[in-house]
Formats: sequence, C-alpha cells, structure tokens
Amino acid sequence: MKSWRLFRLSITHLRSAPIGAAFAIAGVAIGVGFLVLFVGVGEGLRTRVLNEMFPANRVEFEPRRVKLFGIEGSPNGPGLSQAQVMALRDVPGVSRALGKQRSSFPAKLWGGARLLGFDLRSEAFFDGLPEALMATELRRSETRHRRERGQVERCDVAQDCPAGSSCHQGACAAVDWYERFHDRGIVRHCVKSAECESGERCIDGRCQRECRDASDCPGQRRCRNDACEPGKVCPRGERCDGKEPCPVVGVCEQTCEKDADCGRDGWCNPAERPQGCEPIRCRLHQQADARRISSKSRGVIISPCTGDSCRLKTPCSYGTYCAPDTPATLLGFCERPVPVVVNPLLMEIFNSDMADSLNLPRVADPQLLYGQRFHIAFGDSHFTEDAGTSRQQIKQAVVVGFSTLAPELGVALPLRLVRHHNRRIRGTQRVAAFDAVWVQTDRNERTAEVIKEAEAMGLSLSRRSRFARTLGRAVYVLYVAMLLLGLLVLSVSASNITQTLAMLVHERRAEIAILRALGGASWDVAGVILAQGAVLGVVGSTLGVLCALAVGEILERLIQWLQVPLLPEQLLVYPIWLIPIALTIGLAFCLLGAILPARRAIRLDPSEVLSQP
Amino acid sequence: MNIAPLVQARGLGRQFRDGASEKWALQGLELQILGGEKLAVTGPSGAGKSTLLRLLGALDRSYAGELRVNGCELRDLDDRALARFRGQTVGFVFQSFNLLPSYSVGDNLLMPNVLTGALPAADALERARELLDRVGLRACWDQRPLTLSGGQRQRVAVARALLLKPSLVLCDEPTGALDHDTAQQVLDLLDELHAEQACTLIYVTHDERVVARCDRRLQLFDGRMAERQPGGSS
Repeated sequence: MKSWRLFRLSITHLRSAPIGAAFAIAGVAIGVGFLVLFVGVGEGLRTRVLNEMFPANRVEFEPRRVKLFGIEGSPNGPGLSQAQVMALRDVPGVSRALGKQRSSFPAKLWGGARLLGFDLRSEAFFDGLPEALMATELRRSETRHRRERGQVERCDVAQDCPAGSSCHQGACAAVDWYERFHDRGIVRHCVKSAECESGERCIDGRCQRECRDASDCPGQRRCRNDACEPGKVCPRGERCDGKEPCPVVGVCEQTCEKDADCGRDGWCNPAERPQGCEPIRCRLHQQADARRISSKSRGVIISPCTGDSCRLKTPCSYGTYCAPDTPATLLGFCERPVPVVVNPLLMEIFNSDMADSLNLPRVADPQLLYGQRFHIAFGDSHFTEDAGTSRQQIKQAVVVGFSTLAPELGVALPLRLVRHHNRRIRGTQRVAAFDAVWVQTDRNERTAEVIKEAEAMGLSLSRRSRFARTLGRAVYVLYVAMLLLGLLVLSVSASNITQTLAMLVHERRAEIAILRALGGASWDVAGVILAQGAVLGVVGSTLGVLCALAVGEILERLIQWLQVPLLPEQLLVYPIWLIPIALTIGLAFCLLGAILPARRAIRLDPSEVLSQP
Repeated sequence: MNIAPLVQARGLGRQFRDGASEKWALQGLELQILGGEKLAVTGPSGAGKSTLLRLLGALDRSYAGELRVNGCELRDLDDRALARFRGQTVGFVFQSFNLLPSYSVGDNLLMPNVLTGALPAADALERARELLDRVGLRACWDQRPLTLSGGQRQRVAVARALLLKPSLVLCDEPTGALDHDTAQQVLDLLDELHAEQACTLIYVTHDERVVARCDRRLQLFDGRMAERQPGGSS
C-alpha cells in the first residue's frame, strides 16, 4: 500500500477516536515539551550562568590551608612564589597560569553621585589581576551587555548618550572599555627604587621601566640612557665614585615629535633628543577638588610645553584628571583614572539587598555602570590606622567592565597597581609572593587532571573555585535529572499511546478484519497502526516543542520582571540539535508505543472476527 | 459458464480445538466449482458452511488436504500474495454488510483498490461510480453507510465486492438481515451482475429462494458434503 494511502487510513481511524487521540497527543506534547524546556533551562544554567560565572576550564589555586581550632592557616607559607606559578604553567593541559595579589593596605572609596544622586562611601578591597587574564573575559561580558542593550541611539552631544558611550557622527558609539584595563597613563609615585617593580627604578618620583637598549622596551619606545657622573646616583641605586663605571641602564620612554604623539596624559619634552614623552604636571585649585568629580578636578597644566600645542594653564585633557601627589599637595600629574572591574555578583547584592535597605534605585542595566567614576583613597581607612599622608594617594577610578574574577565584595585593579601600593605601604616583603594563581586549561576535560597535579604541588582550590565546582556538579545532576524526568514523561506518554492504539485496535477489529478481507496484508494493517503512532508523535512533538518555546518565553519574561539575582534576562538556551532531537525522540517513543497494538492487529484473525455477529 | 474449474478441493478438512478436544468442522471435502457457476452451500448451523466460505476466501489457511482456487494452492501463498488474492480474485458480501462506518460510501467502494492498487486511481473511480450507478445509489456517494437503509447498504457491499472484477464472489447469508422485498431486490441485482460479469457466485444460505436461483447446491452435514440439485430435499 502506498504511504499516502496508509496516512489517509491512519488519519481516518484516528478521527474516529478523537478523545483518545487528543489525550495521546497531549501526553506526547507534555513529554516533548518538558524535554525541550528542561534542556533549554539546563543548557542556559550551564552556559549562561555557570560557564559565564565559573568557566569549567578556569580554576583558582591557593597555598594549601589547614584548619586548627577553627582557624585556617597555610603551613607552606603565606603565598605562592613566582617559581610555583611557573611550575604550574608547565603542567600538561595548562594554557595559562597567572598570579594574583590581594590588597593588604587600607583604602576607602566614594562615588556614584551621578548614578544615585549622592555619593556612597565604603572601605575598599582590591584584587590585583594580570591584564592578560582579564582581556578576553572583559571583552566577552562587554559585548554581551551591549547586545542586551539593543538598538542604536541617536545623539547630538555626548550627554545625550547613556553612560559608557560617546556621541560619534550622530549615533551613540560604545567605548571599548575592555581595552582600558591597564596601568598606562597612571603615575606610580615612589621615593626609592625599592618601591618599584623589579626591572623598574624610581626616577623623578615615578617608577619607570629600566632598559639597556630599545629591545628591553615595549612597543616603539626608546631606551633613554643616563650617563653616570661622580656624585650622582647610578640607575641601579649605587652611588658613582668615578672609578668604577656605572652600568649603563636607562628607562623606557615613548619617542615623540609633538604633544599629540604622547596622548592625553603626556607632553613631548623638547629637552630630549630624540624627544621623549613626559607626564603632564598639573595643579589643583584647592584640595577639595581632589575629592569630587567636576571640571575643577582637571586642575590646570603647569608643565612646560612646545609651541603650537602648548596647553599651559588649560585643564588636563578630557578623559584625564589632575591626580595630586599626596592628599596634602595641590601638585600632581594629569592621569587617566584607575581602571576597575566589578564582580557581577556585587551588582546583584546591591540590587537584592542594599538598594531597598538604603532606599536607592536598583541598577537594572549593567551598561549604566560602564564609565562610572568614583574616588579611591589608597592608604586611608574608615576603620583602621591609615598609612600616613605621605603614602596616601587619592585617585579617580573608572568602571571598565564586569568579571567573576573580581572579588565579590571589592573590585579588581591591574596587578601592578595593587603590588605597587602593597609595596609602598606594607613593604617589599608583602609583594614577594602571590596570594593565589588563576590557571586556565586548554580543555574543560583536562581541569580535573590539572587540579590533581596542583594538589600534588601543595596547592588547593580556592574557596571560590571549590564552590564553582560543587555548583557545576549540582547543575549537572539537576540537568541530568530534568532530562530523565522528560524521558520519564515521554515513557508514560508512550504507554498512553500503547493503550490508546490498543483500544483503537480492539474497537476497530471488525474494520481491520474487513480491510484484511478486502486485500490488506498483515503489514499494511500494522503500517496503519504504526502510521497512527507516527501521526500522534509528529503532531504531539510539534505541539510540545511549540508549547515549550512559548512557556520558555513566558519564563524569561517572568525572570526579567522579577529580576531574579544572577539569572540573565535570556536564561534559556536551545542548542541547534535540540528541536530535531526532541521531535525524533517524541516520534520514536510513539512508534515504540504503537508496536504492541500493531502486533495485535497483525495477529487478529479476520475469519474469526468476521464470523462474529 | 466456463468449463475450467475455478475451485478444486481434495480431501479438504479444517480442525478446531475446542478445549482439550479437537473437532473437525470440515472433513474430506471433495469439491470442484466451475468458472461462472452459481452455487448454494446449505446445511444446518455448525455444518461447516462458513468455514468452507472462509477457506475459499483465503481468510483461513489452516486446512488439511488440497485447495486450489484459480490454479493456486492457497496454502503456498505468502501473506502479501494471499492479501492480493483476496483483494483481486475474491469479492465478499456479508450478512451484516461489513461496510466501514468511518468512510463514505464512495471510499468504501474504492477501498479494495486502495489496499491493492490493482487499478489506476482514475479507472477505479470511474468503475466505482459506474457500479454505484448500477446498484441505483449514485446520489449516495458522499454519504456515510450508517445513513443508508439495510438494503442500500447491502447493495453498496455488492458493488464493493465487484469493483476489481473478481472471479469468485462469496456471499455469506446476503439476505439474512433484509426484509422480503429488499432481499428479492438484492438477489435480482446479484443475478444481473453475475450474468454481466460472468463470475462464480457462491452463496452460504438457509434461504430456499436463494437456493432456487443457483445452478447447484452443496449440502453440508457435520462437516461432510452431500451435493443436491436445487429444489431437492435434504
């Protein structure tokens, strides 16, 4: 029998039992719908929540800690040496291992008036993270936030645009904030070279990179060599006595021909041949200007400058501000704000707990925070003893992105800045070791092996990574449980289909016998029953998929409306394979359910049925 | 009448299990039916009439002895060939009509061709319309069988049995559920169509009026045969 005839016969038979068919279709629809919805939620939790917050191929290690009388301590010393970090890099499967350092100096921050109407004040805690670790992470989260933001907005001036973007050719253009997580353009003050990183020295009160020639300098920078004369301080800190030649070491410097070559935070010093960029010296009008964000905080430029582009007595360029050397002075350098990265969890904590308690508006759109400026007073504290005015510094900071690598209650800064302030305030011993190390593996599957290797090296997973792995396992178990539940519902549906079709075969046994008498073969009759199963499967599965998509949409709107913490606005993820697989599984279960009734139909003896009255 | 035998049975028997014991419904039947012949099979209840009809219609293959229809030993045919045989060589007319209630009269008529695909669809449609016209029910093409009277339903069943021009038409008590006048009309119709199509017509009946219209009577007793001329007493 041709397949279309089979299909027609199946449809006719099903139409004769509409209630049974409707129940069977509903059962399949519920089963397939559950399957699609559960996989969508599971995939969403896995990829949009768990992998975003705690990527499976990224773990944080700390020195192993031991609990004694309820207090944790590290038997192998306070931190990780550079050698340990390097050893981790050599572990098979590790693509990157980057040390991080926590701040161990007091600091306080304040700001947010532009967003909240007044300044929030808090003690500040920092993690210093390597720029290389953050680049990809920040770019991904910023791209996602922009995508969630949607359409392009028109503008005439920058003020028309939302925070974090600028006006370019009549449209608000997003600034690539992720490119700004670095310490270039930020002066690191010093009194002696010991306060600087290794490979740097303190010249003119600033830490500058040492070099022997241009090959030691990054990018197109040149190496400016200082000749040592008796009575002067050698680059390495020794005093020249005129007998022994001083080792010729210079500092890296950007070459320039005009001020514009030095960017917003530098000027082209004509005293140098070839000319080199120098930070721009500035002066605040009054000390209070250092503590608020206004046009006055840009101060006035007091550096010498070259002819045409002379900026003397003008404020520091847009995008920079006048950062005083200490809180007690008005003199400073035009600097870029310190880039900070915020943990998305902090925003959730603010929205879910703090905003209501403090009667503040919730910050629903993370995009609003990009570019927000606030102040950090390094070395100052609300709670503990401060570091003394000479070691304190007030800097402006700017939010350049979100990352789960940042501490939950604090912000992340470029590693070198945190190390610098740790060293200045707590001494060189403090920066000898890293507090933790972030390790990235080349594949998710390698992570377990790398953890074993690291544990053998005396390291253990950090509290955050342990939590992430536990959460990952919990989500996986939940995912599998939901999948099994979906399959269970489908199995029940299949059994329902078996009953419906068996009932149909029983009720229609006379018709089946007539079909056999009129020329239908056993397999034709079986085909009709199987085709009925297939029709129920296709209709039920399609309905199930459509219902799941609709329920998913409602669920997402509900999440948006309720603003559930940590859940993205688009939680559900439907992998490309999901809908074909769900339809196939639905169909397969229905065909399985139809096998038994089909066998009954084959075994039905037409002569016996037709002989009955 | 075609002299060549359409049906040949030698030592035909059919045994049924009845609890622990076994019972022969038919036993040692020797039978030869010619093409175009009109035969009445009679006998008391339980004599084996319907069993014989089911064997001849290839609805039942579990027989002893030999049974050849149109030269084919039915036992040797596989399921598909047997189905094709039923669809194309045999036409059934049942006492209870056995029309498919879910389908229209037209679809009922076309069903043998739907199942066997013996004729191109257009030809089958033309033949079905012609037959329905012939049985006087042209206007009922789209109606459901349940909306028709008993006589009309039986006429539809007759038309369906003849759609694929079968060599053998098996009628199991075709007038059993009809009143006298309607039964006469149906029998007249069968006679006419038999004359037109030159098929072999076998009636299983208790009705002597039917027997009187046949060329030959096969009388069965306890599964065994006693052949008589129509009108003869048993």
